[in-house]
Amino acid sequence: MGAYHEFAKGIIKENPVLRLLLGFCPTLAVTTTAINGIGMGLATMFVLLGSNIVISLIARFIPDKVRIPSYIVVIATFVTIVDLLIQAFSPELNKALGIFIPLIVVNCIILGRAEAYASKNSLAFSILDALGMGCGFTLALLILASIREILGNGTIFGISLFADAFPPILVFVLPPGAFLTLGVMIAGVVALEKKMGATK
Amino acid sequence: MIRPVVVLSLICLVASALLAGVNVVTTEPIAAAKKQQTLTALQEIFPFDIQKVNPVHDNDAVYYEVFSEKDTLRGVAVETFTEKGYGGRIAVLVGISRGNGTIYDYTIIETKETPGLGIKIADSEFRSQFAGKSLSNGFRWNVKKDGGDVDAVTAATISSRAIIDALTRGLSLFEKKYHG
Repeated sequence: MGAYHEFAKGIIKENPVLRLLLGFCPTLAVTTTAINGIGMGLATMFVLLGSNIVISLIARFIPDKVRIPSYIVVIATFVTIVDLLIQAFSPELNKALGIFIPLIVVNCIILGRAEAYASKNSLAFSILDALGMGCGFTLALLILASIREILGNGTIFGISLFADAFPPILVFVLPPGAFLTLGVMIAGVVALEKKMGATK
Repeated sequence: MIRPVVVLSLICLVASALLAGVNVVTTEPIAAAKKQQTLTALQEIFPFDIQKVNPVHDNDAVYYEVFSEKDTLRGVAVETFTEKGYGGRIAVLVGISRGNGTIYDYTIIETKETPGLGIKIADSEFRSQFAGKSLSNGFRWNVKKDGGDVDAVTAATISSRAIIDALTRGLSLFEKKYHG
C-alpha cells in the first residue's frame, strides 16, 4: 500500500502541474502538439528520476545552509550531461527533443521534488515518487497538448482530423489559449476531487 | 561554519569534473552531427546528388558551395534573412544554381511566424513558385497586391513580403560574390 501510494499520488491527487501547480513554464511552452507534449514529459521524467536518485543518496551529507545551491548544481549538471549526450549520440532524438532539454532545468518540479521528497525519503520511495510525478506530468502535458492541437491545428499526432470542415481556432496554439486551457483543466481536476470526496 | 563551504565546493568540483569529462567525449560527435545536419538540409534544397560541400565565410555572409560528381560546382546555398517577418527575424537557406543564378528551392532555418498561418511560407506549394526565378529574368519580386508576380499566402501578406525580402537579399549576395 505504501509503495503504490507513493507512485500513484503523482498521477491525480498530487499531479505536479494540475495540483501542485509546478512547472508551468515548459508546460505552456511545448504543448503545441501532442507529440511534443509526450516527448517533453518523458525527457523530464528521465531527469526527475536521476535527480531524485542522486539527491536521495547524498542529501544527508549536505548541511542545511547550502541545500538549495547543492540541489541546483546536481540537477543542472544532470540535465547538461543528458543534453550533451543526446546532441552527440542521437541526432534523431535531438531533432525531436533538442530544444526541450535545456528547458527542463527551469522546471520547478525537479527542484520541488528534490526538496520536498527525495531529500527526506528512502531511495526506493524517491524512485517511485519520481516515476509517479513523471507519469502525472506526462499525462497532464498529453491532455493539454492534445486539446490545443485538435482545436488549434485540426490535427492529432500530426493526423488531420476535420479536413476543411472545421477551421482551426488559432488562439489555442498561442500562449493565451494555453493559459485558458490549463486553467480549465485545473478547475476540472479540483471539481473531480471534490466530487470524489477528497479532503484537501 | 566551514563545513557548508567544503560540501558545496566538493559538489561543484565533482560536477565540473563530470561535465568536463562528458564534454571531452562529446565535442567531436556533436560537430560531426551538426555537419551532417547541414548536409541533410542542403540535400533537400538541391535536386542533384551532393558529393562535396565547401562552406565559405565572407564578411558576415555564409555560402555553401555545393559540388556534384567530378568536383563540378553546381550550386551555392546562401544563408540569408529578413527582419520583416510578422514575428521578427526569419533565417533562410536558399539554394541557387551556379550556372544561371536561379533559385532551386529554399528552407527556413529560424522563424517565429504564426503557426498555421505565416509559417505557410515554408510549404512546398508556396516555395515552388520561386523555382527557376532570379533577379534578372523578368520575375517581379513583389506580392501581387504590390504589383508583383508573387502569390502571397492568404491572410499572411506580411510573412509573404518578408520571405521575398530574404530571397532577394540572398540572390543579391550570390550575384555580388559569384556573378558580379
